[in-house]
Amino acid sequence: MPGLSRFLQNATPDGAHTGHRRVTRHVRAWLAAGAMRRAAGVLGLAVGVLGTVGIAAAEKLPKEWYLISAEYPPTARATALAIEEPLAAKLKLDRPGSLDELRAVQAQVRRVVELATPATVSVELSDSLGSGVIISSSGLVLTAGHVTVEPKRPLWVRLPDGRRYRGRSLGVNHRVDSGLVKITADPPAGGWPSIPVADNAAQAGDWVIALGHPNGFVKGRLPPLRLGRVQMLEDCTLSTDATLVGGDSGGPLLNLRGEVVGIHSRIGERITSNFHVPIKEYREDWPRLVEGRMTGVPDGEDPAADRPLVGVSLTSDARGPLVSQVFPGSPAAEAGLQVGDRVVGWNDEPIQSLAQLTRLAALAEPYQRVQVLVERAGESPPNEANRLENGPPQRLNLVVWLTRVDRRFPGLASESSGSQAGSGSDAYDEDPR
Amino acid sequence: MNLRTNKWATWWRGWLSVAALCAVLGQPTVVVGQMLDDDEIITPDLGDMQDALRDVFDRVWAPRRRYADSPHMRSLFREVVTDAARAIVQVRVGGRQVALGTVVGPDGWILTKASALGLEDSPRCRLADGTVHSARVVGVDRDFDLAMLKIEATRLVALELSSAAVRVDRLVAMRTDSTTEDASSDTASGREPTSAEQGPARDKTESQPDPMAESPRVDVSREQLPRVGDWVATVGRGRDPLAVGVVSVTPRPITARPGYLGVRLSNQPTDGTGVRVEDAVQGGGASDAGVLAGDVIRAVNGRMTNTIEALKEAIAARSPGDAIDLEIVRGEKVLQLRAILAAWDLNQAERRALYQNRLGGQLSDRRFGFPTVLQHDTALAPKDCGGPVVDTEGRLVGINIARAGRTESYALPAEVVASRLVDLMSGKLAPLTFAEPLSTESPSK
Repeated sequence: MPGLSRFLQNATPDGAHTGHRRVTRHVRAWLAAGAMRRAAGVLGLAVGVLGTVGIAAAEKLPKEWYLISAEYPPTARATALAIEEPLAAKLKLDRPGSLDELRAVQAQVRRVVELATPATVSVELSDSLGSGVIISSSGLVLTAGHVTVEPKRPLWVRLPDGRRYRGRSLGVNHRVDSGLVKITADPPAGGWPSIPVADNAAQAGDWVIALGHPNGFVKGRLPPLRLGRVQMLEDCTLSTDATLVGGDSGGPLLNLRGEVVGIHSRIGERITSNFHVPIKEYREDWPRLVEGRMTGVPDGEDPAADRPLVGVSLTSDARGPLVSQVFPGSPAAEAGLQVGDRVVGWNDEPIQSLAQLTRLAALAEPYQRVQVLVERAGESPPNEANRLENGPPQRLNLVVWLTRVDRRFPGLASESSGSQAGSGSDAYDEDPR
Repeated sequence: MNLRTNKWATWWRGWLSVAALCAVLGQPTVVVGQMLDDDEIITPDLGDMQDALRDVFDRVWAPRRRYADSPHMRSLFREVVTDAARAIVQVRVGGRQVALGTVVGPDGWILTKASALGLEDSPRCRLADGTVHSARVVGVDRDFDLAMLKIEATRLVALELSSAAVRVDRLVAMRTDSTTEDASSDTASGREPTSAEQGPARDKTESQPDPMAESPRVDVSREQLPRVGDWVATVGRGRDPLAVGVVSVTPRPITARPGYLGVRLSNQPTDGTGVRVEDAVQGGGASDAGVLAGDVIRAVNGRMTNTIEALKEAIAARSPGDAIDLEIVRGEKVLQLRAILAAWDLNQAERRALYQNRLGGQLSDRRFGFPTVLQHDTALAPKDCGGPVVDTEGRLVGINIARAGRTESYALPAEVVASRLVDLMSGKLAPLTFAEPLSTESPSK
């Protein structure tokens, strides 16, 4: 049908209408998944922001800022602190034996605070506020999944001294609540202050230090220190008695060597119920986090309603689909698609028809990176300016980093109103770009 | 609510322990089964089995001793708090403990958290020896939320915050009035007592709790001020501290939040005598204090409030949880009423934040607006504010003044408290007295 204009989006057959019921079922299943978590009462720790943080202001985003080496751990990382021998031996004991031993712990904690405080940041988005920790001098920041909620969102990273820098969210894993952020602003001389990530998982009984910004960033207050011990180890959760509260989400849990062993995530009803994402969840998920993928959906959302978005309108003629409109700020515009481009390939698969392209796009995962091969009419050669036709068409391979359909898209309003079970992430305002 | 939760948690923990036991018992069976398949008999390695057993337990159960604030951890601080504990009193209002008090003068001077007293003029103090005394409030510093109580007693064990030592050194000593001179001279010399010097003295006080006994003295110089990460123990009335934690943030000011009296004011002029109350909001501080519609508020904390602006200013200077003294003209009578300010209605985000901050324990009502506090992560009960916190050397770090959030407790730094003592004791900050609550003098017109 000529003039046919449609979004490339995954139209699931029943998603739009049964949204609300599905949400309820999904949340119940999630609560039942972890017995201890249910007993303790699950709670996210991001602070909801009612006002809007001014992220919309002009942003100078370096081109292809998101092409990051997938190496784990990042090479340009700081070195861990050594633990002197008398203390190291005593730490293996389940309970400290004397006040002298606590004095030794205290001396080590002071060193860790000195090392880790400059790298503990506040992560600020238009609708949520959390913490984070810089783990590479190039500006990779670990945070919690429910702080950034989605990949590709513009945000501010605030150092403890109050200076703010622009950043973007990369991958998010809502199943374990992990998230990655990249500072896109130019790094200071010598790179960003960073601390190392631990190679070994924390053990029950280990002394741990919690940093972060409880109750949000407070001017003139350095990230408050909390000290505790690892209480329990579950598959995707570390629980400690280092106390947390809203705003701490995404902040680092450190061992006595000053290495990140976990990221703050949730609290329960008892003062000793503080839950963290173990560092191994980041290590295992690293390629997806760096690529900027989203695993699972935010709390209270319907996974079936999650649809990829390219951001173009298409028409088709006898030879196949043609781009008729590119929406500003969309993944397509970002990748450089132009009106009049003919789509001839999608992830190495040749495209013959609009229907085929729509089908392939519908099968894509939101936030996946797709190679789109387009044929673009060449520029008219200057010496043959009077020719009617343009020069020979050129083929371009463009990388499109998909997003997903806005939760507040007209017609989906009833669906998003069903997501009341979210914790600190009820509003999914697409950030102005 | 709390009770139900605890039961629920216990129930789960119980079942998980059973599950863990089953898992542990099940493991050797599996191992044995494999061995039979191989037609070999291997003795299971005891070390491996212990490790496996511990791994399973680490997934389902955390022993109490693993808490950073476990009874065992507190007992490690026994040697540095035992002496100070003798200077701690229980401050009681209506038969219940509302705060701790710290004896700062041997002849009955007790420092405590002012707002914890509420509307009470004569709280009761239970001393370390178990005797209960009626106390007078002789000074109130609303900025720091400190109150000085006075009981009729002598030769009490007192924690000295020598104000003279603040400039150079800070003296923290257990003493009775007879040793005052010695203590000050030691401070001036800036001498660090050795453990040998402290040892015998401590043994002596432990074996015979005699207030007259010579007590250890510790000097604190500026360089030894607490740093982030330092252990702090909250001294209670027992031999072990009430709780232990670490310093989270070095001293800083805490932003004030305006208090809320709960009155609607009339715009009608009242001949410059005060501000007329149109309505006292049900359940608000004014209504609880007995303010009625039609009353004229003439003064707040002794300051005239002729205009609405002056009244608003006087109230906004105080924080939620603070008590304010109102002078009210009702018809021909002048009344003195004391009201406790409430917090403003919270918006959705603030309610959510408050909910999270209350998970795990109650907060102090008066927790905003301090000129300077040291933040530590001790899980402190609001009723345990007013007592001292000490470091691993037994040096006084400060006086607990508020439980402010799930992750934070506030202590007034020792030198700050010391600098307030003279004003609190001298009567300069004496509260208005209500000897005759309903005085019948006619208003001056």
